[in-house]
Amino acid sequence: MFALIGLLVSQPASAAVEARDYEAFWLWSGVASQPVLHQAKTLYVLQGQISAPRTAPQNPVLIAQGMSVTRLPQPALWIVYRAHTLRWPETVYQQLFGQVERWQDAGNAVTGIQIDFDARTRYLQDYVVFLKDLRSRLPASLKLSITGLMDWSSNADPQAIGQLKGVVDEVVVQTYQGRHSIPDYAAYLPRMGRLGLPFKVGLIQGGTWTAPDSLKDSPWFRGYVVFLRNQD
Amino acid sequence: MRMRVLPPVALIIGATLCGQAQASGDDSCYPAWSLLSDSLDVCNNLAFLNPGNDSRVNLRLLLADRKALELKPNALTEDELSEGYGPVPFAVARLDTAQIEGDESEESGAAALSGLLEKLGIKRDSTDSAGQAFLQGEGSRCRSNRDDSAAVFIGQLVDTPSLSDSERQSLARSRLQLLDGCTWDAAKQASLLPTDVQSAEGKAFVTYLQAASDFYSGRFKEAENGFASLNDNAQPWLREVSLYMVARTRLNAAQQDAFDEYGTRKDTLDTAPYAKVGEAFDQYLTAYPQGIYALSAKGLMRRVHWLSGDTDKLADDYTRQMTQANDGQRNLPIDALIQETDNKLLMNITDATPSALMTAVSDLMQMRKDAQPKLAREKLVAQKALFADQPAMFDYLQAVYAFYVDQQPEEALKLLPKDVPAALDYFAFSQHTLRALALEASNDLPGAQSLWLKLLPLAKQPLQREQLELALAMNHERSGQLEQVFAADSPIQSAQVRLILLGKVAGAPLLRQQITQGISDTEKNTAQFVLLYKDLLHGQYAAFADDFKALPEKSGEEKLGTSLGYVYGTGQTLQLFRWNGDKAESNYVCPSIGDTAALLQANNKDPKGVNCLGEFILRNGLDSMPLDQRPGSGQLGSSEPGFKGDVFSRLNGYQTVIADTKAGRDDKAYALFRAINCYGPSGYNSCGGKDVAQSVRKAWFKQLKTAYGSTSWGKSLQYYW
Repeated sequence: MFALIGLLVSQPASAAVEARDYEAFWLWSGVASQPVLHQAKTLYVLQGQISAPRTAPQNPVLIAQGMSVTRLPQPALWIVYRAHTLRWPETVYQQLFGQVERWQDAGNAVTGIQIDFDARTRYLQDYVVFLKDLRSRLPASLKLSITGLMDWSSNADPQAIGQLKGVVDEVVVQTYQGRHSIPDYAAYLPRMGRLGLPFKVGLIQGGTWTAPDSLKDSPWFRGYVVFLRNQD
Repeated sequence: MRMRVLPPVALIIGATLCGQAQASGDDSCYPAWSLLSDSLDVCNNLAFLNPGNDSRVNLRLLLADRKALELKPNALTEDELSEGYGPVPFAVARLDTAQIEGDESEESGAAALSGLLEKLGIKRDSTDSAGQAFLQGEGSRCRSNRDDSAAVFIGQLVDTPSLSDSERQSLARSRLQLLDGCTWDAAKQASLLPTDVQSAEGKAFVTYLQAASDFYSGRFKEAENGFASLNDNAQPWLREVSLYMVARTRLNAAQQDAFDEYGTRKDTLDTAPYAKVGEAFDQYLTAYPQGIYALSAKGLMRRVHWLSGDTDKLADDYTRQMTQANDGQRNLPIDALIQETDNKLLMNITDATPSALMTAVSDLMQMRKDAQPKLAREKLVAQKALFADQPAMFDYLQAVYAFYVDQQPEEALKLLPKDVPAALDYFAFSQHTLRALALEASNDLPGAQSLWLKLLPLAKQPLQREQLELALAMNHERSGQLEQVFAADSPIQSAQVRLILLGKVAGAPLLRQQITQGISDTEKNTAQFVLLYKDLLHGQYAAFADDFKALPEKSGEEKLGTSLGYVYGTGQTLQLFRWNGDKAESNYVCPSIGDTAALLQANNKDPKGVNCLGEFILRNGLDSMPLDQRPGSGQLGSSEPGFKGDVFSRLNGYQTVIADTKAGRDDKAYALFRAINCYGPSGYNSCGGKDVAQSVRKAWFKQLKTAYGSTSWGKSLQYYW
């Protein structure tokens, strides 16, 4: 928003996302390692999903995914879990924290955990409640990160978003869907900066990205995370 | 791909089971209503063999024809329905029947163990075991160090009469203690093993415990020697298990350097050590073809073939496991095997394998538009001998190549059979589906239509009928026969297909007909909604007045969501058209939408009418209404819409008022205020219509602040964007 003096939102030709230009990455299950990981300072490693069996929808379980627990060289490590449901039984919390502990015991600097939940705007209120509870269970030494969808900034209940302040330490906003960048990401991002939450921008390797001018001016912007893909 | 889960036994094969995982945060899938797809789209699969399908779907179709599995699509979930899905196209998870199962062997193992301990009078301090500490899905050789394997060992102690009671006790206690961990240094290990065992049989059991603890501790050389020394032992179980464990130990030793720090198999793998591993498993399986560890050994052989890069043997393993074995002969359920085949084989091969089944699936993947590398024609032609038993499959693959890669439908037609068989398995269904698509691509719409109609009564397998309805509807649409889709005897009953056509392309007469003749209340209400909406937004104000009269006073409580193109539970009701000007949030007062339409019917540039139509759109959230979006070309509902002309846009409406020299002061000020707000706060136009330059917005702002500065809108607006 511009007071009287308007700034033109510049839109130069979009550029391909080259992983080597970045320092933080998601490493998902089934994605092979790449040389670019050597330059990584921050790694988000998928370690499991929480979902309910079709046969027992009331009984969600944690299923491990991704690499085995090991010592990784990156100075900052986030352990990522995909949540298909928010109704976690106690065992899931125990197993999850146990796994994070094993990463720490292996000698890694674990920054925190990240929850990847497809919180469409209609689930957002439930999600806030869930995250508050999770925050209270999480050791103070661990940070809490969540992935976010771009349409939160335009469609979500601002009150729900506001409640995330102080609960989550960062939101990583996806600018892609599937393997492709979302064409109109530039329209959403300026609003992201006004949510009042530290945020990173999630890019997909090989996708397209041009930083809107508003981004570098945002006091809440904390950098990029690139989702690595298999090279095909 | 949405991941379903594999039972823990799957872990024997490796830690990184799940393939090309879906990117973070992108669970959402949306249907693409078309039968033509030349690139992978896990969200949109079809019930015939084609390059756009996920490889797991093509594999399932082929396995279903071989009766190796039954194709049982899951019912559409609430989420899928709210994303707009019908039965076809479908996301890959629709076919996945794998269920997350609790690990029964854990409980039965614990029960067996406690029964045996009771018999021996041993009390167990803790019920934890190192192997149980892992998560479902985690891979480690330590996983087998748990109650069920301890129970087998202690069971053998109980069944070996030559052991003394005290030996039996010591050995059982030692095995229990070993459950606590998986790594012991030599001193710790020595302290856990019994020292008071004298009999030869007892010493053999000690040797086993020593070798097993060496194995878990990663001292593979010592472990192998220990197990090997038991290969000829008189105790039958020790003889069998030690033979199996020699192979398992060699495998663990061989793979020590196989992965990089992120768990990815290294490209530069040394295949030499795996020959000896394979030999050892063969030796076990020859001696014990139905042995206790035979299923596990076969599963581990796949791992050997995978790690040593022997794709020919790996392809053969999977083919046999899926087509020649029954559930009892597999170490994994077939769903898990399909997933494993995809991860470990299909995503890694570019050349033909001796398995025609795997080669066919792989060929289809390599015929995708964006495949790297893409299948070369010579390579396909060279596969003729491989398909000697299935010449029709070889012809089909060539037809697919002609159609999708070469884009020569006439050539594809030459390779496909004309005669339709009495029963359609998925292969025959694929042949004739491709034939009809090739006819359509050669502009023979009538020829294709008669083929679709011929196939309809023969479609008995799951999803075939639903796919044909979509195909036929698209054919009618493109043939200019939309009314046939809605004829009384139309075979097209798929709700989503009919509603998309009503929302995107139907003209006013057809919509009026479906208000009374729709096959469901939703269809009737949708037709009425679309008719009234398009009358209004396409400037058909007189028609709106007439059609509005047909709206019963009390109608319209049903929320129309996906039937109008909305997703995730948003939507509208017919009550929309009873909007009476509420709530004048910006203090610009409007009459009901009926009266607004009447103003516009008299003068379609009437400033009040134009602003109020804008108000109707703004206050009811109708900017970017899904009904106004045209599907991409080639998709259902992408033909020329029945309502002509541009859709009313707020931005252009406000511009009309701004340009109108006779417009009243308030009308003009409000139009300026709203037009500027079209760009707030993001700087992007949210009101539709043609964009205007920022200099124009700046001029509007100046005009509002100067000429209309005393109006409430001139006073309240502080910014422009």
